[in-house]
Amino acid sequence: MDIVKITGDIISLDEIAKSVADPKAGAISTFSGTTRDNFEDKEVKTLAYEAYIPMAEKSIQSLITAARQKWDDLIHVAIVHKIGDCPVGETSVVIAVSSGHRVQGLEAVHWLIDELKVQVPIWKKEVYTNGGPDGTDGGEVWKANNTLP
Amino acid sequence: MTQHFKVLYFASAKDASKTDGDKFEWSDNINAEALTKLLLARHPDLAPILKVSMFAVNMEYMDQDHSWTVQPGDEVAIIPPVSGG
Repeated sequence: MDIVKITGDIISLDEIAKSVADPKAGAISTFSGTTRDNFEDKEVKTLAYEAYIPMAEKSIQSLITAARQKWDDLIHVAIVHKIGDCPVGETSVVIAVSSGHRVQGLEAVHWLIDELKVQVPIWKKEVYTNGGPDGTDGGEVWKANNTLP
Repeated sequence: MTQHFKVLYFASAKDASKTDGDKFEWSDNINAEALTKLLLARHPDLAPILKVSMFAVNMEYMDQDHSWTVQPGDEVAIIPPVSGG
């Protein structure tokens, strides 16, 4: 089973890990992306995510299909990405993979997050705290991961 | 009957164009270069963003070098450098 979800709701690692559980699985491997409070010397207040939703869903699904070709021991794969605000400490993305044995699950999770960051049409904006002396925000910047050629 | 195609703007492209989408009149031979010109005529502030963005047509990334042209009814999207995850 493949689970692909883009949602404005808070995402739960626990629920998503449970969604890939299977009696044939010897391992559930997961990745969670969380909002960090700093970038270079700036303090980050929140990240804000935007997505080209139908294309992002299609792109994530095609990554899962590709992962299943590379690793045949995968059982269920779930990729859930949040859009909207994602304040410090909150989770923006969860990837969960169940597999018969641990090796392929761990490799697949690693590959999936690396590929997601390069290919999927989702963008994050970093919103900084305390820019000006009058308490104005420190501005915001659209981030870029390693880009496509 | 005039035919059209749609262009969607995301992230920095949306900020620059100040809209999330536009409708354009279709004509023959709108390749990447011609599309860029059309976009800049309507939204000059898109210039720096288009330089680093990809085009997607009907949710497929388009190769910037190969000859493709926009078809009537296409959904084109400006894809600035992505940053998901």
